[in-house]
Amino acid sequence: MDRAFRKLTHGLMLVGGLGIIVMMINITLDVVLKVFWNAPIQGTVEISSYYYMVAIVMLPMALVEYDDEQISVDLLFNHFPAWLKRTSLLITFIATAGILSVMTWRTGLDAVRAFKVGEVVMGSREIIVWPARCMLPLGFGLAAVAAVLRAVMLLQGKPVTKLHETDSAA
Amino acid sequence: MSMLAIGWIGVGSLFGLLALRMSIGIALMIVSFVGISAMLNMTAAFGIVSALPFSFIGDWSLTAIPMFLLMGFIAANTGLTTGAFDLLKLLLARVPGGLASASVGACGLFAAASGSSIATTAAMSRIAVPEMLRAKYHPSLATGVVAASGTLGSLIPPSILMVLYGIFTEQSIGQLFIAGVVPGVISALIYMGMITVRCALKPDLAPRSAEVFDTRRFFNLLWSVWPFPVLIMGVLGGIFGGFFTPTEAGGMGATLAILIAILRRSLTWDAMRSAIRQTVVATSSIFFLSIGAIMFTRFMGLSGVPRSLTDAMLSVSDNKIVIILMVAALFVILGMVIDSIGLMLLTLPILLPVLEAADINLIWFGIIAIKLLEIGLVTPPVGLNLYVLHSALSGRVKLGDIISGTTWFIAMDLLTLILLIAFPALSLFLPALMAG
Amino acid sequence: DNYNANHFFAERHSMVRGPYVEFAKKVAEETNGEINFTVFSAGSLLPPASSLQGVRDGVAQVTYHAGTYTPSELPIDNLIGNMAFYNTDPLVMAFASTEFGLTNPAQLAEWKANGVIYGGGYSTSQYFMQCNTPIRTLEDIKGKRLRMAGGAWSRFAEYVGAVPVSMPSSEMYTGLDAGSLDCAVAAADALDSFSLKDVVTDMNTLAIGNYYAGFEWGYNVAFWQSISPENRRVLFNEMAYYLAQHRIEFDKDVAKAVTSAQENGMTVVDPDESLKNALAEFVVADEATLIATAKERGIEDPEAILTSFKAIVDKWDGLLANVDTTDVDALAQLARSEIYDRIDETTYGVY
Ligand code: NA
Ligand code: NA
Repeated sequence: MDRAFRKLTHGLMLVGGLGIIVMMINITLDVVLKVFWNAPIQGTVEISSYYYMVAIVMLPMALVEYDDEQISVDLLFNHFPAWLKRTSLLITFIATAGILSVMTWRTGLDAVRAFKVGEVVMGSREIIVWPARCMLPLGFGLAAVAAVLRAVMLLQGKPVTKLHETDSAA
Repeated sequence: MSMLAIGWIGVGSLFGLLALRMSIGIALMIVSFVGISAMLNMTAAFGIVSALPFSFIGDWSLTAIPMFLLMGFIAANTGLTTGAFDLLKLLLARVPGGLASASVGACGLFAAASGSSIATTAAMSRIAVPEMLRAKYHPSLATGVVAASGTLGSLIPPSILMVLYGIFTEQSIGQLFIAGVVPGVISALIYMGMITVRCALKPDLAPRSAEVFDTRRFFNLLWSVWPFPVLIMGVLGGIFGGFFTPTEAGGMGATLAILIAILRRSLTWDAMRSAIRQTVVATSSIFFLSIGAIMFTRFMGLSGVPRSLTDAMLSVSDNKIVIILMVAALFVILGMVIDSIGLMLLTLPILLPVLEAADINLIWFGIIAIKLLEIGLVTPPVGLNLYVLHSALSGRVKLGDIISGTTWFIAMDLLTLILLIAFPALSLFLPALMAG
Repeated sequence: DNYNANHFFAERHSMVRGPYVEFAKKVAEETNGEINFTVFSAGSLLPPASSLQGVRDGVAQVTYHAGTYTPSELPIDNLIGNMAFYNTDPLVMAFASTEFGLTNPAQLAEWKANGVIYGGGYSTSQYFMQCNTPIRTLEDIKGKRLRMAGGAWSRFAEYVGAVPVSMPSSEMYTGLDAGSLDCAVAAADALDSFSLKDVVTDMNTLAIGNYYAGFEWGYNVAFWQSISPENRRVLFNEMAYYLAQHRIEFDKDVAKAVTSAQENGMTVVDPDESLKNALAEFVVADEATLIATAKERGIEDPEAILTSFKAIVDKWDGLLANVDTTDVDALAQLARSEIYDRIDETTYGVY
């Protein structure tokens, strides 16, 4: 379970990584073509914003959650006794899974709606954006699963944070 | 329960959730969702979830953030900037905290090309901080200096924040840009002064380089120094030459970094792969937090907390200086939990009539306001510069160290603010000169 | 009761200060505080692309919406919104699009399908090319980078051999300053409101349409149905007034901005024949594109919709020729007698 999920999230992260390289190449080519030949790549702004960026942000989200890379403050937490640390983490994981499920559900509905109307945006060209919308429920949803798995690992006594103190406490 | 009460309870709950080590993005989302449901209804709360993430991520000008992060990671992973910093170390060996002061200068230079503080921080954090850590600088100094100097991005023109302020208050964007130059330079100089004095008094913050100046080593280094100036000047020159916009500059900078690394034969597959991975993870976690932050800004706006606080603080007196000091307090307090653009948009409609009634120059006020909004970028829990830096360093420096490192710089910002308030000419004489 | 009003322009813009800020005050007075709008401007409540969704979900009870952000949701509105060159008198287009939005059955069905009650329209002033280099002839425009509002405007740029560039409005200033942009195509109040007068040296008065897609006031359905018919009539009356008022204020802001830019040294030139002819040819050629796009989006008979819209435009062209177009009350009276008074506040939007 752990290995399969890690593989999946890692794969999605790589797709996000591909997005970053393609975005860089696209922007660079657009500038070069614009400066030298007055022939920009139409749609660069829209595709960068709605596809590359959404991929870069959403696809690695599950891995970020799973690997404890989300940004949090552990100033107080570090001084908690072990039982309180475990309780805090459990509450955190459940709440995380909860709100991410809300986000998944609602952005999922949006994706369905966007698909039904064939959502496009109007830049200098019309760009279809509904496929990009699907990356939101995917990212939020898998991140919610990651939070649930972390809760399970916590209950099994496995390490769930990058902090050594917590690892020994848990 | 009144909406206002729900708003304040929301602020309190946010800090409670953060104490549990909940991720900041998640805590902001939960409080906003529950708060909006309580104030309006569930449909409206779902509406916010629906409206914000996609349009926030899909904002073209934000593409500069991952692109500049990538530029920084590539530069760092291929040792692009090591030569320049070695040279600086040699030249500034006798100056206490020389590398930190040099980083302030580099940030200021980069700020002259970039319109965004976060992009400036993203670009400089990976370039400058590891070099300072290598020179055994204290982590909180090495990170604090870049988190704080990154805020020069909005004070030194060009500046997206000034453009928005100009549009909102109908002030000339050009005048605002010119007005920001001197305060930007003063901020940088005050940072450098503080660094020098602190490092002289506490040498273990920034150990003096034991290197003796050696002409042969100097010329050797001079040869290895070129990538850093070429990278920075390439980005600056491209923007000022009209070849690309500050947003496109991100992509161009990343490409340029790769080209330089290829030329130096230092681009390895490993360096590239880890740069990409680091960029993706940093971008995802920063944007995740930002989605929470903009949801929370909406929750605050709907609750009326900023409005009521502004009204209460402005009713104290109609004296110019008192009003400015009240605004300063207001922005510092609300700036902890509300993002800078959101804070400006939520409070300016209430502030403007008061400022105009008190006959306060709006260019002068704009510079003070931007300086204050920038402080919000380095104060937790919603202080994006802190997190950009934290993510750019892949967690090598603890968030607590970064936060404590910025406190000295915030103190210096307050000093700069006192100067700007006491001497309006610091902001206004250049614009007046240009206007003839 | 307290409700939320949303606009993504800045509070001092002519489309917000009258039609939202003053409007909210007047509505509160006239309804004895039963409808109290809190105005959120500059996107501080909803991002521009999501205002339609936001008002449907009840985040806001009334909002402005720029129709071209949602071409697939609002195909009919986009069809007529892209007809920006048929008649370029902003006053005519503001009144005509309002009548069309409130009365055309196909358009009403489209609003209903999107969960919004259409209240009234608007129009910006004419779009002009504001450049950092002289543009006098068709030859001058070739290869120039123009920041366009998208859609028909971008097609026009390509038609005349220019390069349409997408960029956020917050980057126009630096783009023109550094030269990564040659012209911004926008209503000329941008010379002031976006400070373009500092960086623009030449303005060409070729009237490249104006923007009126979407609506100035769209209401949340549950809100609209929950208020009394008397209060709906108050809203109708105030919208009629501010429909007229925003047009006059917008043009005043443009005139002020152009005058002060000219004092700053900006040159204003009229288009030569080559440019005028190119625009005229484009308008004819583009109608086929509009119709084809509308059909792709599932509109059965776009020709009929265009014909009925053109009839309303022509009617208003005639009606407005006979009034003092600087008199807000006279214009508001016309909007009431010709549009709003003919709508039944007990049944409109109640379903
Ligand atoms: Na800047
Ligand atoms: Na803050």
